[in-house]
Amino acid sequence: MKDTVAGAEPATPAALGASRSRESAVEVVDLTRIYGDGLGVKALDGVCLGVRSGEFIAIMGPSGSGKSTLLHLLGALDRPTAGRIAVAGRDLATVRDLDAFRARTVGLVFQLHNLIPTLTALENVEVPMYEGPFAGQARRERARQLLAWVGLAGRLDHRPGQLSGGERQRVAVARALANRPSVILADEPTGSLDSSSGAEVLRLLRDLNRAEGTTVILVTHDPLIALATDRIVTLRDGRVQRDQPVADADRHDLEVFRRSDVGRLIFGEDALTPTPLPAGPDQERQQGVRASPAGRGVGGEGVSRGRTGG
Amino acid sequence: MIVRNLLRRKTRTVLTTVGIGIGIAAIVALVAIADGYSAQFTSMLTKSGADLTIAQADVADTSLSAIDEEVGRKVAAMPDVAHVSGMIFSVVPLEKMPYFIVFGYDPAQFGIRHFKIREGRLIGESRPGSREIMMGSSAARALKKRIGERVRIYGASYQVIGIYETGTPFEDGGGVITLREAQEIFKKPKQVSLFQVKLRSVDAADRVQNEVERRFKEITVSKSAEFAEGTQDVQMARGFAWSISAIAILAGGVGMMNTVLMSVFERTREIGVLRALGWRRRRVLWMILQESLLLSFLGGIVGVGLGIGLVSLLSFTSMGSWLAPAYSAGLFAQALGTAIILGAIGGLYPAIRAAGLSPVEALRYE
Ligand SMILES: Nc1ncnc2c1ncn2[C@@H]1O[C@H](COP(=O)(O)OP(=O)(O)OP(=O)(O)O)[C@@H](O)[C@H]1O
Ligand SMILES: [Mg+2]
Repeated sequence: MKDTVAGAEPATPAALGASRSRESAVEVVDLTRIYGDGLGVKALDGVCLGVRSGEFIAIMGPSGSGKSTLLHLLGALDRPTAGRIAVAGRDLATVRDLDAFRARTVGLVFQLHNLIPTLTALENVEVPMYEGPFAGQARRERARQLLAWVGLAGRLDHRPGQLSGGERQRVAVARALANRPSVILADEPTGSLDSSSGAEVLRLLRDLNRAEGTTVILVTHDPLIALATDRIVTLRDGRVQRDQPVADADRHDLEVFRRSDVGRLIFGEDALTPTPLPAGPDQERQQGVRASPAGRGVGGEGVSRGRTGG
Repeated sequence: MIVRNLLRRKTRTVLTTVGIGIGIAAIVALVAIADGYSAQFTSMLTKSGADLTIAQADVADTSLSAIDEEVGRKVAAMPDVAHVSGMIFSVVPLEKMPYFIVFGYDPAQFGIRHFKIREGRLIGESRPGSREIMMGSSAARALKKRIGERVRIYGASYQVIGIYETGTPFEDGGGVITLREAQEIFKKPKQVSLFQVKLRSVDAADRVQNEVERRFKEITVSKSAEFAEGTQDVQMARGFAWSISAIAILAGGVGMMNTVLMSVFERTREIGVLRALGWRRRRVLWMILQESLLLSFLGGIVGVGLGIGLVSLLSFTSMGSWLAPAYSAGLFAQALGTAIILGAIGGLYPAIRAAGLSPVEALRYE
């Protein structure tokens, strides 16, 4: 199966990026988040979780179990009541510039795409780049490449209102990748999509994970989506209830999974080989590749791929 | 992005712009009128060639000023003084014109010489009690009076014997009778409203000014070019202009703050997204502030246009013949500056609110 060989593919320079080589992507110890004072809601209650760099994990659990709360804490959108969080080797309690952390280290994808309605797809992807390493023409060029990478090269100037739900969510994925984050945090990114658009979005995240080694943490209610990841962590009442790896065998043996959109698109016969992402300037610097102003040159040519729905 | 945010709610943006515009229009219109009033006053006193103007001190309205003619004679006797010319003026209703300014000049003094006769002749002292009036060209046009026709002022009938033009709307919208008759009908026996003084040398101005103020009590002496600005009338007009404007601006400003605040509330989620994607507080602050600055700047432009329009509408009213609005670059700069300051102040609070939003709370909004 193609996914199994993805890691053995000729490594793209991007896959060797220094930020990806850290052993631990996320390290959470005794994480507690209580909303309100005194008798508040214990949204998270002593969660411990380690995610290795390059892992692709799903977080599941009933509504109200604390999944979004956990993701918000990992993304530094919120502060824990107690416990420690380290992301990409940095203890969040000691990070002084949280804005820069949010802009560069993590990439967020929400259930509702949350695109800015007045901006075009291209401009939406540029939004996080105002705080990142890309400026001027390089910014525009990178946004263009990312949109091409998610299969929306022909939709650059469309407003969110002119795009389908699946297309919007792909723009949101491109936006999350803008500053080359080392961890993608996706909160039910397929929750509002039909199964085939959902599978498309999932495939993007998985390609990203396979081709770039980007760590992906995905919250989902859909067991089929969760099965496409490497590991499923289940929360219940703010605690980790289960934490299990997903074996290829699990997917193989499950008839429903093989017949599902996710199964067919990602693990089936017509699954495509993941394409590397366009690289960024600092990455090129690390690689010793001469940086072009557009930040192109490493994987930038791999923008055209036979995506459906484009 | 800023522009598009404003275009989201077009009606609201337009209404807010107009709201600010009205405040700015009030400034433009009222200040231009006040400036024009002051400028006319000045031209009235300087066209005669007078260097100094003497008036009664501390009067609320210059037309109430009264000085004994005796003072004029004594000033005329001073060595540095060439000529002294007395004048009376008062506002009376005249037929269709509710504000008709009647001037009283002594035909023998220099003050009357800047009235350029277009038709007929100057008033003369030849026949005492002859009740002659010469009329300003725009007053004659408004009242449709020709030479030989009569007008009634305070019950007395005056015959129009000449039509003049000075180029100052105050004068061209009024009429001139002899000083003697003006003293009689305006009950200022042996008194004048103002003395205009011509000096032998302009260098003597300060000396004469001090000397006259020292010798005579309860009078004030000004250089003619500066007289108008010092009068209570002009200062009141100006104060009035700014206080009306302040109220209008306050209303516009509150409207603007409301608009910007509403748009921040509506976009709570969006602002949460921006913060979640790493936008710094100050970038969010600046975005909202820019929106409000742009809004108020547009309001300023609209206001200047509205203000000019308003004044030209007013010139069709009964006061119209008096209006000589003085627009200056300074006035427009002041108006736009006020609008921009308004934008900064009105936008600051909403911008601070927006920047202070917690990303999680904002994302959970709705
Ligand atoms: N701002 C808040 N104030 C008070 N309670 C909150 C707040 N945010 C979340 N909670 C509570 O914390 C608990 C966990 O919420 P969370 O959003 O993490 O759940 P979830 O697992 O993401 O649920 P869902 O699957 O419905 O998205 C819930 O009981 C919720 O009511
Ligand atoms: Mg949730």
